[in-house]
Amino acid sequence: MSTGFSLASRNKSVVFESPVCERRAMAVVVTGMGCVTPTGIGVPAFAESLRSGVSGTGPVACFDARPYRCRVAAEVGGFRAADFMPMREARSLPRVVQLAVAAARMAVDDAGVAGWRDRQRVGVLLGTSGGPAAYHFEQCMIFVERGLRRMQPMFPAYAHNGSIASECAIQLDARGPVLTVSSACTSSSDAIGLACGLLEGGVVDVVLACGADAPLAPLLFAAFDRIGVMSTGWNDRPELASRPFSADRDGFVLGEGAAVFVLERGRDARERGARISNEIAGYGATCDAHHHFTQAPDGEEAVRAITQAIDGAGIEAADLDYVNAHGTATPQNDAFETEILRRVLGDSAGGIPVSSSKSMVGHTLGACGAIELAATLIGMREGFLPPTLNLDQPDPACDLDFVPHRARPARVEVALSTSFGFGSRNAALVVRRESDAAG
Amino acid sequence: MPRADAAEVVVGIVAIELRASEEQVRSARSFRGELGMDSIALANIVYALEEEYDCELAVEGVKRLDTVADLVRVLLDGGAAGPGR
Repeated sequence: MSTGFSLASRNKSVVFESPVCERRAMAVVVTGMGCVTPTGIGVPAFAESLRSGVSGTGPVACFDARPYRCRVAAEVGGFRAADFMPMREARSLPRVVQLAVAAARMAVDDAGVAGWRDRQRVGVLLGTSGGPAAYHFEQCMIFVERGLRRMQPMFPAYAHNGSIASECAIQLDARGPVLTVSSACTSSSDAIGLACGLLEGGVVDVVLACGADAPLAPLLFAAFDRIGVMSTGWNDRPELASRPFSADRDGFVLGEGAAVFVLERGRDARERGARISNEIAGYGATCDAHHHFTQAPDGEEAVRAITQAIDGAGIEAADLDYVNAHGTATPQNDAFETEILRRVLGDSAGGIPVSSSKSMVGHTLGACGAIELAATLIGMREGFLPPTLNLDQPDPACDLDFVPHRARPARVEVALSTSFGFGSRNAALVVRRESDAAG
Repeated sequence: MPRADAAEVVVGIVAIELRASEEQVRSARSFRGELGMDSIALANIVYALEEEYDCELAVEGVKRLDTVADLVRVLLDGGAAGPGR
């Protein structure tokens, strides 16, 4: 893929015999994966939930949602921070940091790189939208109601978006660049794409590419409720609330979670005998420069982002076997995204299955790109397409093959994952399965 | 609240914050000198005790806290009746 970074590898002699060898050597590959989602903690549990088509949506449990029109959310249940970090951190870290650290630790364990060859060449690139916003709210309430003395002394350390990546670096001893991307709901897709740039440019040898958000607190929830973007019609049957591409969809379900990938150059991964699951083959990112909430109606920049990713992978749109869509279940997004995919995929559109993992895990904001890439990679590895739940009555404006209700067996060689975000941002990733990545 | 109970709670909280064993905490003659306690760690310890006992420790005495006995004394002087939660 091409991200515009120059090839300036430090202390490395890069000699390629052919363009094919060069692509194989420099291709960025996934060697480890970890996740904490509303439908499963850890890749095996998440994979089983994807295969079974489990909804992670339930009544809001972490605060009193009775004042709001929407009273459902996709929370991570049963998460015990102490399973993944020392007790001090388990007691004090904001939830979003805990989710990220847990996913990062699982990813590193999965990659088998606990003893870094050169920890100064290991970076962290984390995407988050709200970051510690819920923690801000909690501490602000304590300040107002109980005074400064009852606020956490560590508040200054955890109050900024960068603290999530910092804690991952501290706990996993990553001493390269530790960076944060906050680009609304494209944050973690952008983090993964930019991580590839760091690897291609020779800036680092390993990147923990992360997405994390834990926005479930009254302030942001109330704000989304106020502008009418969350589902309100299914409070009595929460598991039906997230209905991407359905005619009776009425908004997204706010969720929380984290997913982390260990990324390396293909050559380095093969040299150390790593188990390579997939190649991150293409990345595209654009902005409509249009509006803080909505995409530009002409869709020109959304199409361009997806086309960048497809071109970067060196494929044609018709080569795609599967699309994991942004698919929020808002009336606006899903019809818009269908139209965008029709334009990109052309005559192939009807034959390429598309699904929305948000029907299961809700909308995890800045984490969605990473969690949905995890869903995509799991499906590719295990031979199935994650389904779109609750698609009982498709919207006539959403007329693609959306893999309704149940996972579908399939062999996927190349897949696309799309993300769109506030600020009229667009991002896309193309991934290729292991056999192609190897050669 | 019995002094011995308070001491055990203090030991547990300090051990977690300073990443030390409970035995190291009990035997330390100076948290600063022997266990690397800094002002932020002390603030975290005081915060944890105040949360545990739902009380407020005397600010003027806080900076001199350096042992289990110091913390127990200021905790009991502050009127902590027992764990608040």
